[in-house]
Amino acid sequence: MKNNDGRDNELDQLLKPLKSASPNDLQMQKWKSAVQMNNRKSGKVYATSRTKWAFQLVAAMFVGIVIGAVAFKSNNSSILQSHIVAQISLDDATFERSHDNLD
Amino acid sequence: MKFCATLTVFATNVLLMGEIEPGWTIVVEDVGPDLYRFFLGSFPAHAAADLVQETLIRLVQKHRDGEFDSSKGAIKNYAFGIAKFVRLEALKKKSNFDLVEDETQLDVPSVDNTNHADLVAHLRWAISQLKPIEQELILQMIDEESSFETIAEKFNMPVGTVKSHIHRAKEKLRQIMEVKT
Repeated sequence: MKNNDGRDNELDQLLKPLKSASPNDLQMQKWKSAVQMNNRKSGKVYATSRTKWAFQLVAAMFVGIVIGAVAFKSNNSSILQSHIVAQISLDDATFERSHDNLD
Repeated sequence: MKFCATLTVFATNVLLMGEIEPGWTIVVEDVGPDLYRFFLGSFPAHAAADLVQETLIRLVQKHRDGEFDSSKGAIKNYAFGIAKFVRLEALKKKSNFDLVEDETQLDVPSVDNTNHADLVAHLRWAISQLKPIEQELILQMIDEESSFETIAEKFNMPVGTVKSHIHRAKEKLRQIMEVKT
């Protein structure tokens, strides 16, 4: 017989001895202390992997800054250069040719 | 400026990648009894308690290694995933030490219906007579929060298949328990 919450009442009845079993306080305490002890032990490993990870992050940032600086520098110089070229050609073209045309 | 912004976003994402550590005492109180009942379906009480401890320790280690992703499900489901493997490993170890060919035939427990430990042992023996997939599904059904739908999701099976497996397992269990009681 199946009920609405996706379970079987007859099976629940059959499994009743297992469902009603529960650990005693001593077992619960044992698990808690085992977990806490393991947590503390693995804390060292965690700190080491965190340090390693922090180093990786710093290295990645450094590489990023260097690449970024190089990219910015090369962009700036090319903009400046093209600006100067445009100024020279502007002077040459407009002044001289317009005067030529007037004569 | 754009570069600095990108760098900040990257660093923030990396920092947010780490999971916040749960309160392990609360996890033990919440998951421990359910895991105990799960193992009790296959092993005697002392072995079940040891396997719960093994599962909880593995859970802490896996959480530390960043293998647990809370977006994929609750920590209880993750613990049950580990418990499934721990159970299989323990069964494998147990079968390696068994010298008799059909141990289940020798282990038929005597049942005193008033003794809870006897009833549990009898039920455990009955479960051990089922097919492996039926055993796994029945063990999932011990948890009150499990439903056909959640089990189907966990085992990556259609709900109909789960229902038919469980129905067949239930009938077998009933027959075995009626005969041996």
